[in-house]
This record gives sequence, structure tokens and C-alpha cells, in this order.
Amino acid sequence: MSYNLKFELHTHTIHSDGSFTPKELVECAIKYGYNGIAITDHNTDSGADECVKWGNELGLTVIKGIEWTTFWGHIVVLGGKSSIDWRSVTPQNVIEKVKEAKRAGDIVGIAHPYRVGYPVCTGGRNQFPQELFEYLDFYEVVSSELEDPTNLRSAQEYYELKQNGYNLTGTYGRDWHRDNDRAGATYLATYLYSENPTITAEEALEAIKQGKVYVGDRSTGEFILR
Amino acid sequence: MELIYRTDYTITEDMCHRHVDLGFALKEDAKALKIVYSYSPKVYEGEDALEKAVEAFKEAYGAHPIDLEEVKVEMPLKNHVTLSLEKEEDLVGTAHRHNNNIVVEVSDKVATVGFKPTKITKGEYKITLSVHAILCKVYAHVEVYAL
Repeated sequence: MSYNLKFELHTHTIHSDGSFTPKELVECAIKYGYNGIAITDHNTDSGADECVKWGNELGLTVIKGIEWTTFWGHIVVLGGKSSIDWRSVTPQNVIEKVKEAKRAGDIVGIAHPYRVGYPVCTGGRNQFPQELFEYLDFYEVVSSELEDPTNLRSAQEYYELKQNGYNLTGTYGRDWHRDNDRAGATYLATYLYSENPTITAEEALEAIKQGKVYVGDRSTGEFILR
Repeated sequence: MELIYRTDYTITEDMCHRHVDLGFALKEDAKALKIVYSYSPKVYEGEDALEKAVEAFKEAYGAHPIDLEEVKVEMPLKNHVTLSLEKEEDLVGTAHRHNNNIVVEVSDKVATVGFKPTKITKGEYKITLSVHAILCKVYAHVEVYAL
């Protein structure tokens, strides 16, 4: 038997600019039927250990992570093994920084590449060099609400990258700061294929790296894209 | 509680997307550090604010038509300067929050969210103000206390 385990790979807590405490984030994820999350606060992982602790107690797989929220783009680093100073990341050295994170055992992806950028959201729009895609593990094809027009552009870029041979796993990121679903909006999730009904954080990272995922409707699991 | 560092720092628009380092030395071990940080103005009052936001939407949306009501949801535009603390070249933490008045406390047992508990020993420390968004001149104020 195989399972499609529902994950949210992009979340924030009060350790950066989210409204959730780590415990509240775990509880909210369980409320929405997730099997796991990644905690990816902006430029800090100070809440990661507490989040893992609550995940263990309440029954949710928690992947440690961080979002390098730089002036030129936002990069999600999952695994909690590297400890790269986000301030040191620039367009000139980002590839080396990503390689360093991966050598430590993390996986790395680009967040919301076509988000509305400066001065509305600094770094929201990806301005890192194209060569970076060669070194990333995943690409956040859909961010936040499915209806957001910028998701059309990221989906187009993702499919072009795949056609050109880039080995990138397509994922979804809610960029979840608070429990504030908008009525009428569609939210998705990243579903990980598993042979077991539960999955460890390491197994989840491996599934993402190997592309054993699909993006689907958060409520129904209906397939949206892979 | 002893005030060990204080500065009023003016950040200008040409410093956008730069890290501003403010170093200070702790002459003796302390139980904790307390940092009081504020900057103003937070909100950009310029008449071209909506125009700037529309340009950002155009860049992101491409050919997709822009709904001005969606742009107005993002108003007002705000300056955004975050604070990080470093001890002997190791990052202690970052307060990536949108509040322009924050207090950070760090000791070996506890730390404000965003920071890790750290033993406060004598040595070289650095505060970094990271200029994520600046639309007009911003006045930053930093005080550091040793407890």
C-alpha cells in the first residue's frame, strides 16, 4: 500500500514575522490534516527545536528549516544541518552558499520566484542568477493562494526549466504566517509518496529530493501538478 | 543595568539593500544583553507610493492585468530595517519582524524569539541593521545594556 502524506513546506512563527507560536503552528497543522510541516522562519532557526518537540508530542513530522530572506530573493533551506549566515548570501556567491548547505545534508529550493517584489516585498521576486537553478533541489511552483496571478509565471518558468533538463522538484508553499484562510481562495499542499502512513523528516527530505511528490488540493488531495 | 552602547544612525535611500554594521565591545562578562531598537518613519508618506507599488506589481504580473484594488491592499508602503546580533563573528540571531520598535534580550539561559541563548562574555559584538526596504530617510536608534 502507498500513502500520499500531506506536508506544508513553508511556514513562519513568532520567531520571525509569523503569528503562531511553534506549538500553535503544530496544532494548526494537525487541525488541517497535515502529516508534516517544515518550519522556515525568516533568517532564524531559533524556533526549530521547540517546533520539533511539539511535533513529536502531538504527532506531526517537523522538518527543521530556514528561509534566507535576502535582498535578491528568498531561498528555503530544509534539514537544519547547515548554519549559513543569511547576511553573507549575495547574487555573486549564492551558488557556493547553496552547495555548502547541501554538503551539510540540507536540501534547498527557491520560494515564490515571481512574488511581487520591492518595495512591496523585498526579495519576494527572485533576482538570483539563472545558474542557481542548476544547484537547487526544489522550486516553489505555487505559493499562497492558487489564484494569485504570479503563480502562472512561476508555473511557466518551472515547466521551461524541466523541459531544459533541470532536475527540480515542484512544490507548494503556503508561506503560512497565521491561520487566516481567505474565503473563496484555494490552498494547496505538497503530497509526499510513502510506503508507510508516517514519515520521518529525513525520509520527507529524500522524497522531495527524488521528486516523489505531487502538488494537490489541500482539502481533497486532488492532483494539481507534478 | 549599564548602558554600554548607544547610537542614532541615519539611513539614506542609497543604503538600500545593504547591511550596516555597528560594533561595540563588552569589557566584562555580563548576565545578559538588552538591545532597544527603533526606527522611523515606518510608513512612507510620499505621493508616489501607489505608483511605486504598481510598478512592482507590473514586474511580477507580466502581461496579467493589474487590479488596482489588489495593489491598494499592500498600502501603505513601509520602510523595513531588521536587526541582527553577532558575537565574535557568530550570528546570535535576527529579529525579522515588521515592528519598528523592538527589545531583544539574550542570556545563556533565555533569548528573545529569533535569537539563541548565548553566554554573554567580554569581547567584540556587532549589531547589523539590514536595510530591506527604504523609501525615505530613516532614523534608527539603538541602545545596548549589559545586565
